[in-house]
Amino acid sequence: MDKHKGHPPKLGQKLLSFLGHYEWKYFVSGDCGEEFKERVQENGRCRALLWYWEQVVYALAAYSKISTAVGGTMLKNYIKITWRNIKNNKIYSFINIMGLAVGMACCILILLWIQDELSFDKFHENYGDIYRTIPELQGTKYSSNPLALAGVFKEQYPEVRQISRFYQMFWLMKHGDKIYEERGALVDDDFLSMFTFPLIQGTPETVFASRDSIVLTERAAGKFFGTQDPIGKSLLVNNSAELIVTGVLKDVPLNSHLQFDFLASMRLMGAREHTSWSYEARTYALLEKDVSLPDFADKISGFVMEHDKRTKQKVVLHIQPLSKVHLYSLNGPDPVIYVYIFSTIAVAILIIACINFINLSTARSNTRAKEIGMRKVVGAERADIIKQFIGESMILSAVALLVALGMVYLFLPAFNNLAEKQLTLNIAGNVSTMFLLPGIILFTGLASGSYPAFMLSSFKPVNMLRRGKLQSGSGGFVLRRILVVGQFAATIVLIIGTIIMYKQLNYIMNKDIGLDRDHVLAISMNGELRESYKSFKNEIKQFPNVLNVSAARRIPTNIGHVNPVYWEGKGPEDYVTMTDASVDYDYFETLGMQIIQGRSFSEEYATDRENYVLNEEALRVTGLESPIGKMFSCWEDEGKIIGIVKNFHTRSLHSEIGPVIFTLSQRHGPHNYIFVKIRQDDISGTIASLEKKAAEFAPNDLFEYSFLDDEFNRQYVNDQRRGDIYKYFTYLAIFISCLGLFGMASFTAEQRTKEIGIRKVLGASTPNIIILISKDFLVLLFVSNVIAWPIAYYLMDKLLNNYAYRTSIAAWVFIASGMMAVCIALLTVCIKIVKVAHSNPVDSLRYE
Amino acid sequence: MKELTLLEQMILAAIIALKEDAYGVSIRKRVEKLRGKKLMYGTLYNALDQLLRKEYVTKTKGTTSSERGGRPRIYYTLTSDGKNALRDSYNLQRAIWESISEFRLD
Repeated sequence: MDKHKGHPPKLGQKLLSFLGHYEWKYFVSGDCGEEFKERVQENGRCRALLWYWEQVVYALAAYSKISTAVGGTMLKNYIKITWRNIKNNKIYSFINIMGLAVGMACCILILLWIQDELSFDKFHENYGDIYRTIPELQGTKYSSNPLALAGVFKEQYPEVRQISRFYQMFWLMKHGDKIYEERGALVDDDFLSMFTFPLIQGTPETVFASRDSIVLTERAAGKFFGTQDPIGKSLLVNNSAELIVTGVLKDVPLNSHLQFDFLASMRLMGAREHTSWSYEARTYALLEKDVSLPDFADKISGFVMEHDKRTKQKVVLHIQPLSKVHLYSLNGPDPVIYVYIFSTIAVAILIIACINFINLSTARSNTRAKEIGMRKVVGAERADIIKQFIGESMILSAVALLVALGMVYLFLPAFNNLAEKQLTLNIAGNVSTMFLLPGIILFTGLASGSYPAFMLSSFKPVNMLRRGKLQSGSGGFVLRRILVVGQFAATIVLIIGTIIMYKQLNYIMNKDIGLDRDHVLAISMNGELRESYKSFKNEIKQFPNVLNVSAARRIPTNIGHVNPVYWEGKGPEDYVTMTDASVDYDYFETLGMQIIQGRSFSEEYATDRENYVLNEEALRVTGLESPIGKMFSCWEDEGKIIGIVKNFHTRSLHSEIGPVIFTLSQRHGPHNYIFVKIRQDDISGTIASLEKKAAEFAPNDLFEYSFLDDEFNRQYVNDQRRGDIYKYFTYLAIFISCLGLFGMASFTAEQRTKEIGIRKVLGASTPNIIILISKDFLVLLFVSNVIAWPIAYYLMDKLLNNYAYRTSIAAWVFIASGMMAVCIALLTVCIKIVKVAHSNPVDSLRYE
Repeated sequence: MKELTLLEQMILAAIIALKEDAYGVSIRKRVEKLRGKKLMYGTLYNALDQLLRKEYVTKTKGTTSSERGGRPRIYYTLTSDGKNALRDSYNLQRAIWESISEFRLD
């Protein structure tokens, strides 16, 4: 037998050797080791190991029981003293525990948030092997792929095990008298076996056996069918097609980037699903386990150009692993930086809270000098004192943690609301929180207890007993100042960060985007309304509060599909791609977009049906000198350029403006939205009359509308949410810092009670005294500002560099943040000091 | 005097039975066999500690053997106090059973 195999595990031996007293270590580890060897021979190593560890754990538990019984007297004394200290200094204890508790609560909330962000899409069994294909055109990456790509891609590359498209759809679905608009997608047959979206009814292989089948989530099925069995029931989709329910899915978890309430078969697209090279559907591929990614990425990069024969424009195909979909964006800033930002905040807040603790305990060490001197005289060693103080801070932080857990429990619903998540504090069921919580206690206990412990234990007992306090100017003083400065510097950086983030958000939300999005209604248009659109438009145009009416296939935030175009001087075999927006007459007028050359679409010209309007960026791409009247073509639809519209932002301002062309043609699908520009006054009245009119024309459709500015702002919903979270944590950081400052101020005031009394007797006024004491703090705050500003500038500059359009870092932000911090801090200090300054000098002189 | 627990009685009995060979491993195995239930080292040494402190047993260090990772075996023997305590327990047990001899246990 292998010699090594007979030995018991090293770690176990080590653990057993901790059993210091009563020669336990000899007995247990010796005996255990001996029997372990026998067992290896008899039962095999695996069973023996199991047995060994059982013995180790049990022995440790049994030993710890004994040792507390023996060392219990001292431990009891420590706990008693800790408790007395808490009781006798209610303010300090409150500040200590509250500060730590708030800090820990923040930390836990943020960590829960981070944990959730990192958990995105991880529930898929094939998580590590699923990739999506990402085409890059003119430097911009898209999640939409050519429809026909998937089929050819799988055929060409044996590395691809399964592939599925995901074509997002919003469908108006009807069953009996129930009508709802649902979000869902067309997918390929492999979708349900690639991804782990478990079916409650139906099997992944057969649900899409028939072309006209639809799979609903539990939520959607409940909405339509209540408690009835949905299988085999039919749904009328968009008033045109009947689909049969063949399966029910579990609801899609919130931490999935794919969100849908129904799935239907891609075959519903008809022949176009295999022929169209227009960029419409997301494509996911499940790769074989042993694929070398860099090689594969190399191989596929030219795929689109190879197959989409007409393109001469460079299209690079990338792959992106599922793990990067949520936290990395294709263009613009990666949301993952928020994970870093928030982790930093969590740590910063915890450190700020720990600094409070250190400051207050060192400040108060004077009062405990006698106790420590006494302990040392009676025979405590330095190690004992250190143990006592670290233990004390551990106890305090454990208490704080309990309070913090209470807070988290209370505020989790509010936080979930703010973050739009469904986080739960599931301590027992979650392995990482089980490590996290003791970790937090250990960290705060050590970080906040070690300085006082080492400092206090180092003094000579003679001095401590004789004077009853430590020598003035002893170690803690300078350190305390440094810590306060550090604490406030961190707080100021957080304040500056908050202001700049809001400034940036404000900037992108209010920037002139080249179209007028205020007071524009977007009404969704379905079958019936679509048929009578013209007369509907004419009638509502008569309303006094309606300024203009138009329609389009899509909302401007997601204006169209990327399609191949060519123009005079550039043939169809040599095309580039641009975003193709299908709109109706009066579009530019309704949305307040400015025509800078030529004219807009007009019903007076019959040929306008084939003509095009380009945006400035598209014109720049074509390089045409005098574009008006030049031949232009999208797909095979030739027409003329009749106008140029000023650049406007379509997608979020995180990314730059791309080339867009406008056409009246509805070849890629009918118009889905009516845009109505209305007057500012009596908006609700106008909407009511629009709804009435719509009901006349389309009694079977839902009247659904949204405001265009909301649609635009919805793109920043995540930024706004993160900004809010950040803001609240900054408030809390300020609060914790002020708690600490308040404690320090009370301490200073207490220390200088006699001095203040004498000054008052000699004629100092209350303001004099306030200035005297707050002067010290003012200097500290000033230094904090000086330190915080460059750090904040550096960090914010880095952050803003992630945005395509960024606000400036103005000087006032720094000054304002600094002033704010100073004001809040002085206010805190003054609350305490005013009381002292007002007190009767007789009392303060009699003090001590 | 406090009565011995059942476990203590079993350990003391095992030490007597094992004579010169009474050390951790052998005691544990014997007691385990006797009571037909698992006995952990932690429990065993807890009890042995108690017995040592009550001075019912004494220990002697044996020779160091490489097979035990350099740790010597510790052998236990009963003191006269220990023997008395075990005898008391025996008498007590017997008294308990005799006191119900006229009833039948069924």
